[in-house]
Amino acid sequence: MATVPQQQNQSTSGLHLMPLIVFGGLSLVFGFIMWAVLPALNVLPEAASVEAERTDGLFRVLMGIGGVVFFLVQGLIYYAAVAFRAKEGDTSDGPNIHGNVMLEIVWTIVPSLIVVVLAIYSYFVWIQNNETPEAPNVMYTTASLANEDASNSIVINAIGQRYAWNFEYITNDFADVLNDDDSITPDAGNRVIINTADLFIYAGQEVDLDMNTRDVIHSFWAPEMRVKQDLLPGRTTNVIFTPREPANSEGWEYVWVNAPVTIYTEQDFASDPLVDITLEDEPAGTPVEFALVDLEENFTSTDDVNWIRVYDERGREGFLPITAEDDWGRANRYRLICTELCGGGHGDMFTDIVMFENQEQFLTVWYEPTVDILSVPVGDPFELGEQVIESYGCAGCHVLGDLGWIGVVGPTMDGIGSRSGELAEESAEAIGNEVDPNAEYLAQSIRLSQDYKVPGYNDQNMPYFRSDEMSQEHLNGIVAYLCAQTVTGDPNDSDCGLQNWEFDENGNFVGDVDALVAELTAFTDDYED
Amino acid sequence: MATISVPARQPIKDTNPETRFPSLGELASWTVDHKIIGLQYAVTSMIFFIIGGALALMIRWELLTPELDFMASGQAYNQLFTIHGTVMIFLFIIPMIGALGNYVVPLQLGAKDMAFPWLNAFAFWLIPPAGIMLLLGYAIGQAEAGWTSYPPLSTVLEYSSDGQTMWAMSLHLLGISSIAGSINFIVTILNMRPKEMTLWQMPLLCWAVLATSIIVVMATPFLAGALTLMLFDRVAGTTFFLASEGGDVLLWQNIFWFYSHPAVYIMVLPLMGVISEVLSIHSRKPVFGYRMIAMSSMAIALIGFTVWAHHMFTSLQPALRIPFMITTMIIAVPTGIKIFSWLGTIWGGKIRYTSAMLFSLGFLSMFVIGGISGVMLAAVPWDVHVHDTYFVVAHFHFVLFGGSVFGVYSALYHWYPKMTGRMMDEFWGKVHFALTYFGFFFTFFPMHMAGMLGMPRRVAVYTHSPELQTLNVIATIAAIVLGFSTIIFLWNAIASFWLGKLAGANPWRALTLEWATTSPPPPTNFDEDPIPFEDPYGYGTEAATAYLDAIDRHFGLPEEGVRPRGFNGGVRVPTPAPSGD
Repeated sequence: MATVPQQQNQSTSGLHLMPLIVFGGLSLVFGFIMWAVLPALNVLPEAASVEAERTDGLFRVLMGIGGVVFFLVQGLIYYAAVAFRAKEGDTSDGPNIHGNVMLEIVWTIVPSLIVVVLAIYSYFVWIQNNETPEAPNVMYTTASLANEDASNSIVINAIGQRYAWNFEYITNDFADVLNDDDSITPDAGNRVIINTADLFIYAGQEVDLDMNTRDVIHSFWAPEMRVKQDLLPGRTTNVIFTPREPANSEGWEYVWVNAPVTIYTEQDFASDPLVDITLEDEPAGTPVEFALVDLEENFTSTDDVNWIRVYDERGREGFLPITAEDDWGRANRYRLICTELCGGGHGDMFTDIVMFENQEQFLTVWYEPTVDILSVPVGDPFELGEQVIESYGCAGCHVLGDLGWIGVVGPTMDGIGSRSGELAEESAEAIGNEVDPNAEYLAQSIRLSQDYKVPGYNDQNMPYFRSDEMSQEHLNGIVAYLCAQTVTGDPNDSDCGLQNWEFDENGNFVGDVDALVAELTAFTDDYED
Repeated sequence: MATISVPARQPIKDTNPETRFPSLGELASWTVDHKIIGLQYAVTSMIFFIIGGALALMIRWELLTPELDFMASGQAYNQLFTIHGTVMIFLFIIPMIGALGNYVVPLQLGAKDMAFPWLNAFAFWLIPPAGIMLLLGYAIGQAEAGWTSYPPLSTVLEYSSDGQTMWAMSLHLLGISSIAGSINFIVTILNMRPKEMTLWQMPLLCWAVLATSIIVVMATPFLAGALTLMLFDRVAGTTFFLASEGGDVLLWQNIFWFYSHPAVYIMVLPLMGVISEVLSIHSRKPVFGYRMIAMSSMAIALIGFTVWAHHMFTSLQPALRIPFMITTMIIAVPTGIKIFSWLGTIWGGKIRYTSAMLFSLGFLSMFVIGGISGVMLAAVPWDVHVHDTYFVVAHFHFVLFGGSVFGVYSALYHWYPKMTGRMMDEFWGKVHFALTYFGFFFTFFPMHMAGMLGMPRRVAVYTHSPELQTLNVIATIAAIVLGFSTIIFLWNAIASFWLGKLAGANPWRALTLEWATTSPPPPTNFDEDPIPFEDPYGYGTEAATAYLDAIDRHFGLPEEGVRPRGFNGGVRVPTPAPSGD
């Protein structure tokens, strides 16, 4: 057939232009409303960095334009679904319309323009967010702050491993951060290194992290900073962001002071201190954190004392006195989450970013006290063990109630001091590695973790901690600390089988420290490197 | 050119003994009949759909609480989503596309079979062993590195079990199957059209399958290459992906996504073809902008090869991210053209609310949300916030479930009468649609929020953000509704096989050639060479009505109640003289 008769009446009624125009207009309004109300919807976490502010601006535009498209298309679908349904008894076909060149050109050109604009906008946000900071990780000393004459930059390294984060603060010119009375000696590289499980930063300071992984790919995600970067084996990657106090912040949630600290039940030095949280037995200068009770009204002053209402570690309310000359600081905690599948404990691989209000607080309450503590040689291996064990990422996989570890992938460390014999025996049966005494098992299972696995955990792969990753001193401390973790709480009940193992009724070590250290050191001497 | 393929008055041929549904024995054995192979694909992929869906429900159940409580360990959970993803992509959607392509494309082309019938059967028979191999991984330590299997998690033996090796070999077989099937489609579509059908008169499903097949043939060899390197690393001691020995983990990501991003279009383009068919037929109106839809499929196929690295926005060198952002945004344009063209198709039509039509409208409605979140993800600064979070999980389920699975359902409701000779029950079809539409939306929409607020993907625990539990509970409840809706569908599909109304040759009064033969078609598809109508979507013309009436008269009418009340096509319209000039 040469020609097909066409129905010719569709040119006016067939297009139904009026609803198109109405929905087009309405969708623009809807998109604008979406753009306008978005910040109030709380669909994003707090924006705690400059980058987050820019990204959220882009998000608003994307949602505004997305809102237009969403409303237009959904509206037209629903309108068409109702308006163009075949009426009961109407069995005819629709109009024979094959297209409309003008319309097709419009809906090709308009989306093209929109995506071009979005691409350009995204490009500028991206470029700004990734500008190499002028002064990354700058760390003034409190002394130089006063003079404004010196600066020092520290390198912050982030290390990912299954399933924990670890941060290294390496200060090259250590002299700047030390007080006069410090007895520290620098390491061979003239450096001071702090290892932490949390990332400590302060508002306003550009952070440029060098990141490496010990095993598989991990990914650094700080939702409140809107930054993410993978950690790739064999490469050093960087993540750059500038933290700041969120504009919509509810206030600072934590207060930091240095030990010794006393918390009172009432706003009055005369009242009884809250039992168990008088932290006077912490080494002097240890940074201590409390959660604030009421973010709005924290402070009441009596005479020269500011009273801050805080929670202690057990969640009880008390009053913390701050006198003018005391060092104290305020901080917020933000999440830091691994977002690249890294194994069975992937969901447990998260930690916190602690952001102080300003650099002075950061320095006086956390950084310098930490350096000071590190600089004082610790004679007691138990104390050293407790101090350093948290910086090795053990919390990612193991449980240890005393320190608040909740990892689920590895064997529990609760009461390990009472089970070392059992573990050593099982391991000897399963693998054939004999140890003597039982404490040696603990040492070996850290140094050569893959060769001394706990039966039942064969699928897990704890990293080796060879002497370049964990010093002999630290290993001794950690083994001693773990041996003291008994079921009863009394270190004398430990079955680690150490010769020099003697405690008084308060749980204080009363044996010969040097002999204990020598004994512990002997376990792993043979395996050095 | 003749517009009507058949003589005006012929006896009803429903009793033709050869036009029957294959027996179970025939379904389970080697055959070169493209229709039986299509059914084999369909049944196999539905079995894997059930398996993948069960795994998905277990994932949702684990996420009811922030702690690890349902699964025995994090690793067991990782196996869940690894196998869920792999099964749904490689053993459900892709074979289901094989099912539609195999069954419908030769019929739409008026061909007797595919170009290479033996190769066709071979391509299918690679799938069951591959699927069994994948599932047997559970016996030897299942793969647990996610369906993307990034090294070194997937290649270093300390971090993975032998199931990972089985996973790679299984995907190898599935890749061969895909390539063989696609070569067959390309040759069939380009060479076996009737002489009256030019490329521009081809049904849009054929266009979509052609575009898809070109992608498969060009992209899948890269998957094969990546899998080969992975197998070498795992079993032969090579170090392609081992950084400490000079390998590079980004090598895998680049090769894998060079296949797997185009694979996303492999999974959705044919279903877009389905939507083009269904929207036009069930709203009784020609496809709006036929050439633009056909060409946008080709444009997507082409541009789809330039966007792969947007999956690597957090691992790629920062300077390289911008070009991939631009290409990724550009690919939204042809997709937008399709969506607006579909809207133009139903606009002013006479929409018949069949289940097939509802699912096609559902596809439109849900896919556009996936499209919007896709453009958002293309913007690098936003992507680095939500990369590898539940925002991405929500996005690709809106595209692959809201898109592909809705398209699959639409296609099954639409072509079930052709495959079995009986109609599926419309009431239960509508119940199925309602439960799927709302179940789907409330399963996956809250995931956008969860991701933005701090929930990474592939985690069994989210104890760092317990406030996310509410969103997860909503998603889990909706997922159970979604699972229930699938049971309704399966029951409907099985029961209708015996109880459904007789469909006749052309229950929908569609113009494409698969409806110009009995349901199911005889072994050689057409008793005499069919002559296609000059326009596959030329509804609303007298010639089209005459053509459809002639089909009705020749093959007989469907049972009462299949068509709108009082409408029986050939009875209503006075018989036109078949014009043959």
